[in-house]
Amino acid sequence: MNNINKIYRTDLVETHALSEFNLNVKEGEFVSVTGPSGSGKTTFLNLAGLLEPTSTGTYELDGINVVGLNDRQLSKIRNEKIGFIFQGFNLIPDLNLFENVDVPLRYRGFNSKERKERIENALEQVGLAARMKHLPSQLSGGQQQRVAIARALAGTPRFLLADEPTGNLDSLMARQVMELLENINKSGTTIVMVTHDPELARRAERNIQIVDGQVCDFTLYQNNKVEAKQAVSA
Amino acid sequence: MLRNKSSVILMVLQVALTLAVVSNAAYIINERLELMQRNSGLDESQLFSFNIFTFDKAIDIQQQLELDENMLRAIPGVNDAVAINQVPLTGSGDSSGYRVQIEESGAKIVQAGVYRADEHVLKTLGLTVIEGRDFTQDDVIYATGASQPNTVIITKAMADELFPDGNAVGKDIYQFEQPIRIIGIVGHMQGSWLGSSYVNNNIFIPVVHPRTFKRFLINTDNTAIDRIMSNITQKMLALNKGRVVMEPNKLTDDLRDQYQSDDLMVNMLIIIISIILFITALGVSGMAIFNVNRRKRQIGTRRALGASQTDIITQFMIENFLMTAIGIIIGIILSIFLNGYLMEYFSSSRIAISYIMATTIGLVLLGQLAVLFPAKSAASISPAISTRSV
Amino acid sequence: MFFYYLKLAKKSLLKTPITTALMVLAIALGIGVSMNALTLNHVRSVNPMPEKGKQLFALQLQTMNKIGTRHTYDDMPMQVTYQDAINIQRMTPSIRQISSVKTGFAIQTQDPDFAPILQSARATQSDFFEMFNIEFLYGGSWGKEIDHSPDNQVVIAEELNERLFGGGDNLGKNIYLNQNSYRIVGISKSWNPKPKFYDLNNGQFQRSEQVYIPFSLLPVHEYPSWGNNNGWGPEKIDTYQDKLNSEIMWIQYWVELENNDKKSDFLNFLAGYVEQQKKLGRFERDDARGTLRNVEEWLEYNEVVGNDSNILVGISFMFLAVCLINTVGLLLAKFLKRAPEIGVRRALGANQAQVFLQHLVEVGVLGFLGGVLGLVIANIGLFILRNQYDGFDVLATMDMSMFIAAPLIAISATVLSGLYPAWRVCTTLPSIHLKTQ
Repeated sequence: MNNINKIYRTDLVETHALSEFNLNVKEGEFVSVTGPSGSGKTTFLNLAGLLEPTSTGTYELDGINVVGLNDRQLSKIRNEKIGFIFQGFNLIPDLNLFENVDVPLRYRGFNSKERKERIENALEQVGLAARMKHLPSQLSGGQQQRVAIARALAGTPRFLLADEPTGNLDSLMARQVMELLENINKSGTTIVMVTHDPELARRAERNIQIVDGQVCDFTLYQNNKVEAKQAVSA
Repeated sequence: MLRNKSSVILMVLQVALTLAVVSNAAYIINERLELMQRNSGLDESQLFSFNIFTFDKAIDIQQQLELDENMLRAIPGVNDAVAINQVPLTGSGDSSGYRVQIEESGAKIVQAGVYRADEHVLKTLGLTVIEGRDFTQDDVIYATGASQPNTVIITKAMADELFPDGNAVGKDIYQFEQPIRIIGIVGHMQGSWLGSSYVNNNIFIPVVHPRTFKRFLINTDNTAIDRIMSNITQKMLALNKGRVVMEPNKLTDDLRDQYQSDDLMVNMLIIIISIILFITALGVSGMAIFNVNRRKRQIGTRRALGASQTDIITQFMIENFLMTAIGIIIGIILSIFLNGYLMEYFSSSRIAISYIMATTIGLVLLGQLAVLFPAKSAASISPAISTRSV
Repeated sequence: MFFYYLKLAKKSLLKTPITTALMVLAIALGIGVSMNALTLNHVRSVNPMPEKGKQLFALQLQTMNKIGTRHTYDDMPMQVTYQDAINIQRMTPSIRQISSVKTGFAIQTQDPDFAPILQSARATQSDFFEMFNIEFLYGGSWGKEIDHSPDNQVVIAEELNERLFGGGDNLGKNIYLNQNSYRIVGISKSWNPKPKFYDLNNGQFQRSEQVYIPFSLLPVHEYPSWGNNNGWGPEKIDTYQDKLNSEIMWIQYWVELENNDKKSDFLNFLAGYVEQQKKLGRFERDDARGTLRNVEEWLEYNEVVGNDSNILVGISFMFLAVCLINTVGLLLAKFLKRAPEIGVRRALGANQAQVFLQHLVEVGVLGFLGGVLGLVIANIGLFILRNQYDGFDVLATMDMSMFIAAPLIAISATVLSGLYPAWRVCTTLPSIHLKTQ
């Protein structure tokens, strides 16, 4: 089954212009999206994550055209198909870890048994199952981000959308989080990561740059370069 | 201020409603208090009454009344006592209409409370004659039917209504065709129905009706009243068992009962006014605190750019005053509307503008006071906050 | 989901204890005061004869001359004259109707040691009990023939039966009313309609009489009225018979008419009666007429609810409005402050309706708490009223409907005030609150 994201935008969106924006993401890919500030990364994030409604162009997610859908439909898709990871973690402070991971599952409509299973699995996957009842304030930054990742994973989304996932972490924690993401990607989850850190971007298998609202796919260039290199050496 | 439109609208509404409610409530309270504080013309603390019902047919009621009155007047501490047809300030009694000419048609009818008792009546009530003379024993008649004596005493209010030019003493008035001579005028006395327009018109007729149902009115020294009341029924029954004697009531209690609903209204409105002012003040304070928190950065920046603490405080006070002012303008209109509605549907009277004005000033002051503390805390925000990054 | 929202509501309300307490208190005070005013108003407006009230009519006749006035808005007297009562009943024998008047007696039993007690009594006719659905413990009313051939028969109420005899079947026993011997023919079940609609003249919430004697005995024993006796013109009343012949209005008159046809027939008859009486020199006014008012109309005409009661309800509800506006402001501030968390929930898949509902539930919980506390406050208030004022035992008591109304009003009013803040918070775009990039 093909999981194809097509993002195609031809319009001005507020002050962030994205024009002639085309992007295909295949299932299982790990894509990083970089660019200087003001380049349209935020707009891309908001559109990709269905955080703002799209009205022109085509955005096909998992075979469904999400352009022009109403809030209820968009929310459902967000809930089922997208796993968010934010720079600021955005865990809800008065809920414990279990309850935080629970949030998207509640809106999914799972029964309590199903939710419990998924939460426990997700927290296991990020290695924090033992601290289920703790509050976010009792965790380090890196641990909080890992909970956020668990939250994103619990609903078995079609892809994870990460916004500067290591931006608020020190280098040790950052590395741990990136390793976790890479492992998750290896086990088959598509990841789209937005970052301004080129080092981080290179860890993804494919890198997209947005400059002045347009996309430049550098991986192709890099692959070509590799092929060329190989061709030359061979 | 305009950025937070909905909060401002809510606060304006709150101020407006508060003004409307408080001004009208204060007016009603004052109206009722004035009503309740009217002078009755009597010293209620000295008066009590009780009713008897004579069922023993063998009793000569006229004779027994004399015996009862003598016994009562002899009790130490009793100033005077009288058998009477109605007791003022109790809400039940007799009234009738009187005119100055014998012809009914075209005559002005003056309604008055009618008091029928012997010559002790004025002394028992504690009233003094200001014109003419008091009754003597010769004026009194004992009758079973409608026959009237031809001398009466009336209150000044009634005299002024019947004879606006004065000199009522010596003139005749008519209930039926028999001329009745006014021999004396007493000062002010309120009758039985405190809400009626003719409550101050009262007429005293020196006639005693030997009825099975009779009331007794006793005037005592204030210190003796409780003692005397405590065994009055026993004394009456000891004199004759052939009647039922009801529990005595102080006139102060009767009067209080009459004003019960007014008292209720006053108390409930006072409670409402206090709470509503408290809540509105809290609301104004709360919103100010919220604004201060929201605009911390802006305030700090202003301070950094040279605004003094006083400037900051003044800014908040002026903002608050503007908002209160809009609320007050709307509130004044609402007050008048509310009063109009009360007048039309619930027989209220027109509110005096002074109440609206007083409430307005009160609300402005309250509003300013409520903002004072948050404004001060705003002024103490450090200018350094402007350089701090989010 | 509802229980999830409840759980979230609980956490949210506990997170800001002072604000929550203030909001609950404001709502509770508003509800407490309003419920007090509403209860006082409600008690006065309860229909005491719901089953039959539309078929029972109080009769009024405009017998006055052109100068006479009454305190009613249409100048109609509240009571009728003796002669009219007798005439009308005689002329319409097929209609069920009764005259009644309040009087009173010193009551003694055959026990010589029993101290005489003074009781009010009602002189009325045998149909009184069936007309007003009064049931009997023992026996029944006197026979219809007694209304024409008077006899000393009496019906007593069960409370008096207890007091005089300690209860039990006492039919056939005699009691003394003003030393006249009366035979007990019926003991009626306790009956105290509130208000005392059939005679509102001397205390609208007074207890009903416990002694009933035949109306036909009035001229026989010349019993006085303990109610209102109103006259509009100078009439010399020397003897009891004078009073019976006079224009003094002292009788309460009720007519039972099962349907509209019977009602219009009776009104026609009244018009004819007025014409006939005019020829005899009575009913001098141009607008002389007879009117019929059913129980509900009669209560309204007598202003049982009263202006004060309505004013208080109106002002109380305006007060409640202020409390609620205050709450809206607080809710708005609280919800908007929580916008970032809402942004996260939206990102994670909550749609607008779910966010809206979540907040409405929180508001509903707030309303419920306010309503419960408000009920407590209201009952404290009513308790104080009962102790402060005489005769408020009846007037200041909450019945079931008020008890349920309090939290219901609280919740619906609070939810109404929460609609705007909940709507505001659910319509903002999630991206604004997420601080992406």
